[in-house]
Parts: sequence; C-alpha cells; structure tokens
Amino acid sequence: MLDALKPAAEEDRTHNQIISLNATNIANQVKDFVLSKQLMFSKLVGIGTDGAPVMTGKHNGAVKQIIDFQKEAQTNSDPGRKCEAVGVHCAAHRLSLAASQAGDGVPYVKKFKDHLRKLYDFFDNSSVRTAGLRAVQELLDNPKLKLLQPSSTRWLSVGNAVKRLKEIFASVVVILEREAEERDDVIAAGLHHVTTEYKFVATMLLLCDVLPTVKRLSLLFQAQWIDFSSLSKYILDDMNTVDGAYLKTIGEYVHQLSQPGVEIRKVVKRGDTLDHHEVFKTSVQLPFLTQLITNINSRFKDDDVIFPLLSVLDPKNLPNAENLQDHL
Amino acid sequence: MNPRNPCDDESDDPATTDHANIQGTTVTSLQEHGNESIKTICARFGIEIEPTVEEWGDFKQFFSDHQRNLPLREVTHLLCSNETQRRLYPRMSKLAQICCVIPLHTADCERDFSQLNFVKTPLRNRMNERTLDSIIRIVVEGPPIKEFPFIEAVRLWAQRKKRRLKTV
Repeated sequence: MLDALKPAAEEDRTHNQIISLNATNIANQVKDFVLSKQLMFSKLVGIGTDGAPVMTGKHNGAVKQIIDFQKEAQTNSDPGRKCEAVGVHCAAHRLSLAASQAGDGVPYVKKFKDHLRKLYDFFDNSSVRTAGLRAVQELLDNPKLKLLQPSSTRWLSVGNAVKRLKEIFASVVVILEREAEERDDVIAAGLHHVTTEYKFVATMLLLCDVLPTVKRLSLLFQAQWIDFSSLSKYILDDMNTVDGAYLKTIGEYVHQLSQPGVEIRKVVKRGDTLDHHEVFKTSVQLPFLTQLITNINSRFKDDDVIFPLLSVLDPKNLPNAENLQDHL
Repeated sequence: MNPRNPCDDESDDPATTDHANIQGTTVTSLQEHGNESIKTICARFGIEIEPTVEEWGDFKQFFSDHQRNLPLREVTHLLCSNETQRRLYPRMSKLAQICCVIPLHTADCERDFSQLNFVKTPLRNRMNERTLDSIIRIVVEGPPIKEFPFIEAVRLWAQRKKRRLKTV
C-alpha cells in the first residue's frame, strides 16, 4: 500500500515520504518494486488499470512510463526477443462506463437516474417518511421493502435500485401524494409529479429489462476467467430485443396501479402527433438501447493483441473440417 | 483509440481487419489460419517467430483433429501444467501462460480498496502502514475466522515471556 500522506517513520527508509499520486510516482513505485524483488522486466506482459487518464495517458501515463522502463531494461536484448507489455483497461470498468455513458447520452435517462437518487434521499433523510411508506405498504398489502440506494461507485446498484422501485412503486407514489397534500411537502409534490408520468414508468420498466443483463455481464467480467468471444454474442442479443419482458407488460402494469388510486399521466406535447408510448420509444428507448450497444461494442471491439491471443488458443476458432478437405 | 471516447475513433486499424479470418467468416485453410496473429503476438512478447509458427502448425493440426470442443480454459490449463504438452509445444505453452497472466479486469484490486475503508475507519485513522497492509492481507487472502486456532494462539502468546496474570 502506498501511503501518500504519512511522513516516513525514522526506521522506515525504504518507503517514500509525502509524495503526490501522479503518473511518474506510480510508475517509479512499480519500477522499484520490480527491481527490489529482482523480477525480470522481460517477463512483464500485461498491465491492468481502471482506465483513468493518469494511468492511460498516451504521453505521460503511468502505463507508458512503466513500458519505457521495460524498454530501457531490455536495451541489450536481441531485437526479436524484446517484450513489450500490453496495457489493459479493466473489462468491468469499461462495461460500467459504457452503461453509464449510454444513460447520460439520453437526456431523460439521465434525469431518471437523478429522480431515482432524489427518491431515495427523500426517504433516507427522514424516519417519519419511511414509517409513512411502511404504513401505506401495510394498507395496500404491498411488499414491506425500502428503496435501495443508487450510487455511481457501486456499479450494480442502479439496477438493484430500479428493480426495487418497480416492486414498491404503488406504495411510494401513494405516500408521496399524501405527504404532498397533508404536510404541504413541496418536494413530495415534485416527486409525485415526475413519477406519475408515463415516461417515468416506461423508463423504469425498460431499465428493469436491460440492467440485469448488464449486471450479468459485469459479474462475468469480474470472474477468475473471462472468455470474451463466447459470451458477447448471446448477451448482446439479449439487449437487442426492443421490447423486453417488463416493458411489454406496461399496459397491465399501469392498469394495476390504478387500483390503489395511482393515476399515470400520459403526457404529450401540444402539436405532437405521436402517442405517449411512441414518444417514449423514440426519445428514450431506442436512443438508449442503440447507444448502449454501440458503446459496448466499441469498447470491446477486437484489438490487435489480446483478442488474437485468446483466439488462437481456442480450438473452436479453427476452420471447419470441410474447409480442410477442400484444400487437400 | 481514445479510451475516454471510443466512439470518436473512426480509423480502421489494419491489424483488426485480419481477424475476420480468425472468426471463420472467410474461408481459410488450416495452414493459413492464424499465422498473422501468431506473428503479431510473438513480435510483441519477444518470442522467436519462426519456431513458433512451426509449432502453431502442429498445434492446429492436433487440436483440429482431436480436441475441437475443448474450451479455451482447458486448453490453457493443459498447455501450462501438463508435462508432455509443455515439451511438445513449448512456445504455445508460453502463449498459454501469457494468456493466463494478463489481467483483464482490476476487480480484485477494487475489492481490496473497498476493504481498506472497513479496516482503516475514522476511529483507526492513525493506523501504521504496515499494520494496515497486514490486516488487509489477512482479511482478503487469509483463511476464514472459523479456522483460526485460538487455543494455539493463546499458548504462543503465553510462551513469549513470563507474565503476571492478575486473577481477581
């Protein structure tokens, strides 16, 4: 561990004093470690990072500097025998970036995430409101569950938060309405207004369809062993289905909400010829899905080292037996 | 390729277009298959190209005839740990080792960083670097608490020096 803030104790001269966490210092620490453990730079084949600019910067990044050390250490080796490490951007980070950037790329999805957070904060800040939610849940015989916290650092949290919201949606809306009326709570009124819009419900169901797939991919990418080729095809197909299982049932879902008295407003702008679902489809669903798939594909497109390495060792990539016959 | 905005990258890297062959979308003979990739990989990692291409030929033949359905994970395991395979395909073994070693994700590091927050809490903020390092190492890598030999630990502690134990 690198303790950048603590000055070195008298007896501890091997560690550096107060240093800033810049690329050069990081690279130097790695170089010192390699040298002190008498490891061979010629055996350094890969460097994994979280993709931050300090690491991956083309001219001054830590990875580039480490590779420079590597080259320096091999100046006396034969030309064909010099090893150059590959800088790898963490697969899980890339996926997370792909998903969050797709969301931020569609204005309403970005807003939706914000609403989600505000909804959580509304209840988290107050035990009275939480108790109120619980009371409503008892009344409506809904699941007695709280909202979950969406966080940008906990990668899979947004998916969990949306799913939970979907499950307790009716009770949340009812309590928001009550708080707004009985306590003149402006925030509750605002939240009630945004959550009862058709677009909100549709986006919620869309994310319930899509995010579990992203979650599955993310967990796969964090495993001991990743085989990119086999998983990418069928998982991306999963996301390609325009109307997922939850979104398909939106009509029924909205209808069921009316029972406890939750009215979903089908807002359409004046002069717009499309109906509310079409508006959702064109302004939210399609842009989000296409952006997500594009992002994932471009971040995981074949590179010229890792992909060939994985490919050549995989027998299923070998040409078919029939082709072999043709060439005999 | 700009890692921040990969969608901005419009150029077509010539190296990647060769991989259409690897995917099997174009018909390639077994002899031709993957040769370019092998050369690129060898050049990058400092492995002798000619002997490796030769070995690759034998490798392809064998796996095409006998082990088409072996998953990647097992192929690398075979090449890394099986003595016979290592002698037969020394350079393919080297590639398999590289394949196993290159990190594809940093999730293990991130988990450790997360653990840091649970160990070095606000009340323990003056913790020594070495103590922190040791504790995290034990939490992350060590055996489960159930396996901790409490009796043994107490005995070792008692043997260290003479202690006067106050008994009330």
